[in-house]
Amino acid sequence: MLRDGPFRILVVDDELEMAALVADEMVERGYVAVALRYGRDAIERLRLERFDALITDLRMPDVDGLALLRASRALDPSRPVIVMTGHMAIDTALEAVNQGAVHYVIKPFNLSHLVKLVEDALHM
Amino acid sequence: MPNWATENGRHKQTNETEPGKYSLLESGNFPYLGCPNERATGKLPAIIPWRVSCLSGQVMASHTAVAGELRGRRRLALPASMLLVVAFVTGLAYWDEQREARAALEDFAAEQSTCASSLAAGLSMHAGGPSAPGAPHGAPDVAMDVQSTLAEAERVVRRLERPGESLVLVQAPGASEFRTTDGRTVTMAALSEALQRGQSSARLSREQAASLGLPERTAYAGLASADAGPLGSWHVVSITTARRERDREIRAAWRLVLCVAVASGLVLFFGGTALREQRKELELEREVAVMAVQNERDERLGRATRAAVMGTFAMGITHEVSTPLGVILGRAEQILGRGGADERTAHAARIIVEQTERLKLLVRSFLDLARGGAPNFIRVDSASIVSGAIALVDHRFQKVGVSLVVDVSAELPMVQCDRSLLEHALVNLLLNACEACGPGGTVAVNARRDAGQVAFVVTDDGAGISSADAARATEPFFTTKPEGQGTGLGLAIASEIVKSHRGTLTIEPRPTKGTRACIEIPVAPDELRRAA
Repeated sequence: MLRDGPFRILVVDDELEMAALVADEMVERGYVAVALRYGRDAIERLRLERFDALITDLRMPDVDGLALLRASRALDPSRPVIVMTGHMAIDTALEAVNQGAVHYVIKPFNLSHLVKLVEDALHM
Repeated sequence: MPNWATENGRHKQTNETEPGKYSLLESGNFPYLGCPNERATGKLPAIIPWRVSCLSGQVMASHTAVAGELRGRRRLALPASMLLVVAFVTGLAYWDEQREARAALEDFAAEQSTCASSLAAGLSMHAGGPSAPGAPHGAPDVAMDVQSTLAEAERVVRRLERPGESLVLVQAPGASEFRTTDGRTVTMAALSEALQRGQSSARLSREQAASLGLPERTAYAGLASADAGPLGSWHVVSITTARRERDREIRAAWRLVLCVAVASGLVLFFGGTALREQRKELELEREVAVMAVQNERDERLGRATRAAVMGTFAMGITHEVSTPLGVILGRAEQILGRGGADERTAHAARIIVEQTERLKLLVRSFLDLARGGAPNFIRVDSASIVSGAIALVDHRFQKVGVSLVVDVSAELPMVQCDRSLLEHALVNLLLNACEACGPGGTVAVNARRDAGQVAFVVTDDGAGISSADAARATEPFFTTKPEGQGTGLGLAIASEIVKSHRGTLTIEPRPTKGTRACIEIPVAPDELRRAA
């Protein structure tokens, strides 16, 4: 796929601080990143804009991570999705991988580890 | 905790009413074999339930009926066998008594026969004994002999008679009637026939005895013949009433009846007392065993509750803490990674990272301690969730007297869940329903597939809940129960558990009476894919 400009990454977490942290780190690494709190907003942005990767939390109140994953894959099956999850939802994370997520990270995680996973996914 | 739920008593078991569904009503044989078991992956005590959908209610009902019938038969067998033995002994003794009485009467008849023979011998001597063959006899002589012989016989035998007791009859040669010693003429066909047949004795009925002037009781007659030479044969009949023998016989029979009755009464009394005592002991043992089982179940339920509460709190804390920890950790890493920070700031950031890592470990350790490991999400048969929950609370329903009706659809899909946690969420709903109903109430639990969800619905006909209270029902520490009777955590915990399964818990008043609680959780993803 032809790409215009740097990689664009969408980060979604109902804890906006977490989304902002990841987005900041991505921006630090030279990417364009957008942080969102709600899954429904994320689906809307995915429809309207180009994003090369999606990083999403799994447990969210309105549209959860699995639903967002499915929406993303429906819009662009080649877009890599990485899910973030708590210690108690590893099974859901594995289910997300089964449904097409490229990786999952367990909170709290090291940012450098997440960045490496994103870079691997983008350059795959 | 809201006071909307119910408590159960006895289950009834009914036949399958439609293909793929059945409802269970009536208790003793609820189709779950609850057995304490340690889960392979966790520390919670678990139940190995029979799959609801696999069990035939009819089979269980018939087993119960057969067992009850066998118990009833066993209960009847001992008294029945005792009565049979008593009846047999009584019959044997009565038969023996009758045999003895018959023998006594035969002896009595033989005595009469002997008496008659003696009299006949005397008469024969008086009449001159047997006549010489060919001796001439004239008719007037014969008549004279008869008259004189009769007169002599009457004189002899009168001394032997006892008025009202015995009687002697003499039949002259050629005569058809008998003469008594007082000159009466008696005709009795039975005696004549007996003499013709050559019998030595005959039994006279009450009526026949009475016609002879004897008491109206059975009498025996001794029969004998005396050769009177040319006159022919004299016949002598000695009749005596058997009144005393019969009275003795009747008294003996009554003594026998009395002895048997007393002996049987004693046997039945002591046997019955022993039986009653034995039954009481068995009942007591059974009650103790039932109480022990109920206490064990209560204990198991308590352990499961404590574990679920701790596990749910641990999950909540882990979830709530992990995100801020992640943010702190990430920001500290960013400070360290930028390189622009001075040594003092970098040192502080490193300490933040170290301490955050420590907190991470602490949180995970707490979760492991509380839950016996991470939540164990596995593919579970939805019906087994219902059976597992019911096995935990069944005894509570029985104790309170609330009926529990179970309706589980056949072919329910699998769900991805932590079995013990989801069971516990359902347990909380069932116990609430049970408490809201009280004795005589009914709680229904229903499990069915609803599109991509499995719905576990608990309804009761209890006091019900207002819409306002229903909206707050899952808030921690909210309760409508009287003070001291509810912690206000049951539904909050159930709600947390359901959330952790990406499901929803709905509490609402029923349109008619009571409350409806519904847990909906997603069908296992692989089943959804298979269906697609």
